[in-house]
Amino acid sequence: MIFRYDGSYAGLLTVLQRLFARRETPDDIVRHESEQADLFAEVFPSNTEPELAARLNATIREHLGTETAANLRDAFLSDQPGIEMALYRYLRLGWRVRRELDRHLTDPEVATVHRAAQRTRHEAHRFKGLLRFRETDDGLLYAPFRPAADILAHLAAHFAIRLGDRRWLIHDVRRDLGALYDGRHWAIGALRLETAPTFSAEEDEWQELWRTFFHHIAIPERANPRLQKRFMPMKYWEFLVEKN
Amino acid sequence: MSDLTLQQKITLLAESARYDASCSSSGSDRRHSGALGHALPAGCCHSWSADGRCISLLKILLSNACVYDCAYCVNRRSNDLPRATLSAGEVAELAINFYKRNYIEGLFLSSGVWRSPDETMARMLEAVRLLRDTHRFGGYIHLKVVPGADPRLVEAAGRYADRLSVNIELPSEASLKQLAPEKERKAILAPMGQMRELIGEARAERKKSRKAPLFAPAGQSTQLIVGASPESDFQVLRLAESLYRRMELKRVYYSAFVPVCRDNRLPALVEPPLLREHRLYQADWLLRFYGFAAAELLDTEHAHFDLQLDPKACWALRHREFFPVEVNRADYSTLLRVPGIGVRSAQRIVQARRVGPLDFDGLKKLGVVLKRARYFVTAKGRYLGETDVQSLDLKQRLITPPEPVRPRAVQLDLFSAISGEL
Repeated sequence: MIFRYDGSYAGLLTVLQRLFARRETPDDIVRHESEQADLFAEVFPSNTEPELAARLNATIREHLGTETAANLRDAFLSDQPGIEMALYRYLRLGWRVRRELDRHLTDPEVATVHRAAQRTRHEAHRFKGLLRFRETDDGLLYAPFRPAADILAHLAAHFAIRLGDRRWLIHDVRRDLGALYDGRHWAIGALRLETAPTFSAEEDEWQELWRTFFHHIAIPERANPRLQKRFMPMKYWEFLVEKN
Repeated sequence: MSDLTLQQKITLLAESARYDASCSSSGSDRRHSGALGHALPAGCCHSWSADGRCISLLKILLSNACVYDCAYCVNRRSNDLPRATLSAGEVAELAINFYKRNYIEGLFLSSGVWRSPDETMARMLEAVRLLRDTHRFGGYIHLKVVPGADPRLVEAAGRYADRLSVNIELPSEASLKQLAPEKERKAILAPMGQMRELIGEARAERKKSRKAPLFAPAGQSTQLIVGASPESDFQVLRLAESLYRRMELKRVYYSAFVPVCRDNRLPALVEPPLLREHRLYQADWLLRFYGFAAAELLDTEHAHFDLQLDPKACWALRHREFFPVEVNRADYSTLLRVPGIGVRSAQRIVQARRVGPLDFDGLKKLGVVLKRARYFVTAKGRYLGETDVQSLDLKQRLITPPEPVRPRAVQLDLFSAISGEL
């Protein structure tokens, strides 16, 4: 049986909760938009029920630990194709070995989930540094970026503490999602800009000062552009002020 | 001087500041809301400059005017160089505008010695006070301490900065006399000792009360130049070790000497000794995270690191009686001594073997790189090296030949340890 959900984390937890409650084994778990090729397989559309999702999350935290709960979420956020089945098998092993689950580092499912979770966290950490805000003419700090993993919530939590009461908007242009902070609370929602934002009069000057600093802080005798690219791959240059 | 634009000042003062190696923004934990900025224990790199070094702080001099004439320094008095000075207001403005755009994690403020150490420190303090008190800036601040400054100024600096550093500059007193005759070793060590006391006291007070005032919560660091003076690696490493042990420093930075000015007291170098610097950093990591002592890695007979092979592999080759070790039984500190096994691999091995014994296949699945480690370990009693650990050509086998297709590939790995945030 193939299970289909809406692509949200709560949606996946709902599916998993249903599966484990009924002791069913899925052939696959797919997202709403993805049309599976197998015409003859039976597809069970699973509607998202926040209560079921919350129940599973509570069970995981209680019996497997908070580390496992975080791994599950971060691996899901990696957005890697097929991650749903890996998460299902990871949890299935979890019910057997309980709190020892995350020590089974040689188990392929555990390794897959850990690797995916690690990727999400690594990218979130990278963007805590590489995200660039631009000040719009009405004082909002706007930061577009294009991450591989869905790390908007990670970043929103980080910048809500960091930037104090300044208002900001972080825009995941790959997923058309935005995190908006009004100085006290943040929320994530669908986002498409109809017109390009206009920036404050000073914005260009500060960008130019930053570029100047960036170029002159490098020691010419130690030039090593390959090393630079290894730490800061070109896929992240798109919105990087100092590289444009 | 005053008609320079901010652009021109940044150009000059960044160029003057770039030879300071420290970029770390780690070790502080400050979370508060309302004002701008916080500091994270892990630190954060925001960019990487064309030399591959990370940029985490706005590293800049308050002024590149200097009354000293140290032979190795780009800002020496006798160097014909345009001089610039930032006002406290300009520093604060730059830091805040860079910070809120997320270019930086904070400020690293240093300065040439302008008139006197006291006046220089006082001016740097003015900028930092403006940031912290007036703008309530909560980002990371690394402040350079000028040798010879009044202890009261040093104490004030620690109340505002996350990290303090005073540069030891050269590995020995004799070299300091030779190349920086206006600086005294004593004047460098005095604030270091004072800071160690104050950091220790503040930490003890914090344990009693969360409200006790902080003093440089991210500790202190220092920097020395290698390759400008004749000391051996052994002397440098022993110095670093005693700085870690006796001065409780968080970091010692090694800076390969870049010949920025001509002086007949300096060696004629074609290019900076980057590989030597890299070996020193590797050894530094072995001191701080791997439980090695300087005397284990080098001695008076072997006073320099082998440029072909890293310090840990060299140690292993001299102590073959220690190997092979069984990965399922060896304790954590023993695993750390195996060439090719680092902190992460050792931790993963210890974790994984609690739920079942590990064979070589298991090690691979853990992500342990066996290219070198296989000569030094057994797994479930099996040995995987195609030759045993006593064999004479082991050193040759450990030295990886450069890859023919990408001849620069070996060089790529050189500086990974330096820019890693720890």
